[in-house]
Amino acid sequence: MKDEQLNRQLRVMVDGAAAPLSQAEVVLRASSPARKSRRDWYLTEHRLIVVAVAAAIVVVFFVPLPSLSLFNRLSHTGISSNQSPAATIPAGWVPVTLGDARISVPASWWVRYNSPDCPRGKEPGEVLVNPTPTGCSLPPPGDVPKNVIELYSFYGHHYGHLQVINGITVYWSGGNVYEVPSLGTAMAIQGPLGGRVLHTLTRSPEGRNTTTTVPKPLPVVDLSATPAGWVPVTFGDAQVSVPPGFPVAYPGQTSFCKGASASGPGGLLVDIPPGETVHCAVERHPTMVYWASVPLPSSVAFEHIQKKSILLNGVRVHRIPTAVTYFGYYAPSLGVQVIAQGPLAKRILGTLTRSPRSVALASGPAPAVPSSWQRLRFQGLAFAAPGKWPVLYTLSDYPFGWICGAGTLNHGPLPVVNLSYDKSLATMCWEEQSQLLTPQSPQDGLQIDSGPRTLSLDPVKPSFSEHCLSMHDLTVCPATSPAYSVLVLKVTVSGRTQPVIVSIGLAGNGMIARTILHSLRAGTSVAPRFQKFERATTSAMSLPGTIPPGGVALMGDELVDGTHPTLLYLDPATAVTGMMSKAQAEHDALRYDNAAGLRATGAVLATVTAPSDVPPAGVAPPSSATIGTVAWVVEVTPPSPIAENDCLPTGPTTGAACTSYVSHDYVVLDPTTGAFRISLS
Amino acid sequence: MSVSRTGATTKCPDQLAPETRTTTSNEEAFTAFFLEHESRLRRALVAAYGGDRGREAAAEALAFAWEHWDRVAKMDKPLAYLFRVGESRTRKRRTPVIFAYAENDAAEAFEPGLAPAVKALSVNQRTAVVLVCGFGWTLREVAELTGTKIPTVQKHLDRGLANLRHALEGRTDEG
Repeated sequence: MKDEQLNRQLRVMVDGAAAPLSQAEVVLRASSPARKSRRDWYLTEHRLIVVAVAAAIVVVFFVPLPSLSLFNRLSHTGISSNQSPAATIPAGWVPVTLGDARISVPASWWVRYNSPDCPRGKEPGEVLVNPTPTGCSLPPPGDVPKNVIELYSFYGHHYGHLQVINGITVYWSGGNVYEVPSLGTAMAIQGPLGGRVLHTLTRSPEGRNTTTTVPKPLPVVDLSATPAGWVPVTFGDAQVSVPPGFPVAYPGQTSFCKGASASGPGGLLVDIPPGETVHCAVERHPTMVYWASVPLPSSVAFEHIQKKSILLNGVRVHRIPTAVTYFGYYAPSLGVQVIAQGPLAKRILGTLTRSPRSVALASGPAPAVPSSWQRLRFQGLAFAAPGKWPVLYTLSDYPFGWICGAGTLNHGPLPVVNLSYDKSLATMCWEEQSQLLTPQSPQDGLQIDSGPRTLSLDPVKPSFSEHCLSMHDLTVCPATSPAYSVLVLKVTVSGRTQPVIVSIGLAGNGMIARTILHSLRAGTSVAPRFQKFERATTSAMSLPGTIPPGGVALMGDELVDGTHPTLLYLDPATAVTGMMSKAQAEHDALRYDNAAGLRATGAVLATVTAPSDVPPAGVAPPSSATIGTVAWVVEVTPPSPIAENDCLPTGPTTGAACTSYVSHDYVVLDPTTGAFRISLS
Repeated sequence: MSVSRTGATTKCPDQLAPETRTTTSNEEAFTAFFLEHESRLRRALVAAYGGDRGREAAAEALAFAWEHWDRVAKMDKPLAYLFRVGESRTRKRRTPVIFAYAENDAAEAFEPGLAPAVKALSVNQRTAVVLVCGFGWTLREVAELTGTKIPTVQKHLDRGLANLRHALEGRTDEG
């Protein structure tokens, strides 16, 4: 086609494609309402676009990932500084350090050092610190746990795209690898939390040439190791589970090895010397389990433990070569050996795992105290306990850490905080109760004994570890014996001569006990706070040196809601009545006393002294007698005569009606004599 | 007969309101502008975007000029401005580029492959080829219209013609 022909055909084609416009058509189009609305929409759309673009610029410039924002890139020179800003570390994360670099990861993650660089599939995440190169790079997502972090030394020159994280220059070299040449470190991250971990990167405060100071992950109680319906029995750092009703004997309680009970289902002997494992006539019983403390391998009774170990419920154990009918494990990390014989031997030994005690006492970060917990003070200690646990003040000296009767720490089905002045000997463990014991599920609970006779009165003479914990101005020495389902601690408060015995129930995975333990603080001695009780004829803001005739009323605000008199002191010869409603008194009495069969008729009295130290009228109590406890005192009238041993085990009585006063902590006051006694517990 | 903004027939000056009377001169100026630039603007937009969208864009651009005559009248290069207006006012429509021959030209021996070949060119190449070759625009005029430089237009023109000839020659070889 010639040029002229092409040009003409182009001209004809274009003119033929669109007819000429008329001016009228244009003017009419300009005045068209449809066009006007379209034009308005164009304007609106245009404005929206402008606003959106402006917003996008602001967002990209400032908001997301401050360390990655354009603002930061422009405002930072990219030269790393020795002073890195504080990174925002989520609560519950722990630091992991390599050389000059420090990152933080969730406390539940596994951290391995100098191990092969192949993830092991640990949930919920793994950190491989200074891994040994084995050519095992991070597999694609789905083949490994969700979160895998590799932290390794790096001094190369493979820098890539620059970022500034917490003031530290980081180069993204492609893929999931980030190089930090200023810290001689590189990271490979994978998983949904990988980015968050990357942004916790800071310069290690210890600086270069420091070793890693990462706490080991907390040990875990394998709760699944306990079959449904079985009862966990703990001993030291170990735990095995037995069927319900399976006899469990502690030192001095081996009665099921003889007599009528010898024909029973067998038994578990806890804490026996390794050399005495066969003293119980095993042939009489279908299943016998011997559980001994073996802190060091050299003391194992069976010298030839197998070198090859297996992983049992998260615990590495060695088989103990024994006689044909025996089956045994030695767990060096738990310091125990368990040998069993009989049809249930392997099943019981198969439940061996860590105990909640090992979790409670493990080194590592202190767990955060939940906001629902209550903060308490007692005898120079400040501590926390679950908010739902009732707080009981008692004069009784309850045994601690001793498997006794139906309970461990608790005096009922629910866990409590039992704060004992240990003024009187409790009668908890009867001789017949301790002869043959069925396993009791470990229970939560807390008991603090402060009396001077605590250790001497208790039926068990504990021995405490020489390796004590130093925490928050306290010296905390755990008891090595007993070391069963209660963690017994001897706590010495700085400036106090008398130690306080703290007993914490070990149930579940041990985290409640660990939280209580780590909440212990040295608390300042807080005197009972009083406020004027307007409804009393004589009321004072503080305890007077001399009790005036008719007594004096003091009202503390430590108990219940602070609206009732929680602490009264009065002339015991004169009863003061009408200080609260009958209904309120009954409510409080039953709430705290749970004294079935009793009916409150009035609440009038309380005490601030030991029962035996109530002074006569007009005489000030000695300072040593003041115990500072709060107590409701309720006059009760039994609907029917109370048995003598329930009402008045000792001391005077006022007759068959047995008029007495009962406080929430089981103190009975006879108003005619002012004598207090323990009863109705 | 001139047409007012509302489309009504122009009235006598003594019957007009003062503000209406002031627009008469504008109408005359716009008419002159319309007569001078309508065909150039329409052809440029049709060359770029085909018959349907090009004519629509030209109408929108001229309507815009009518609405904003005070501003357009002061522009140095109103044609280039209105070309952009026409582009932007029709940008959202995905009207395909269509070229067709007028019926009265059907008797002429047109190259049947020309329209597809022109359509296959890029917008810049098509605009340059059609306006320069078909309508005799100078490279400067095209450059002013599209807001580019003359060498750029020259490059588009060269490549467009080469592509066009290649397409047409290939078609001839096939035939």
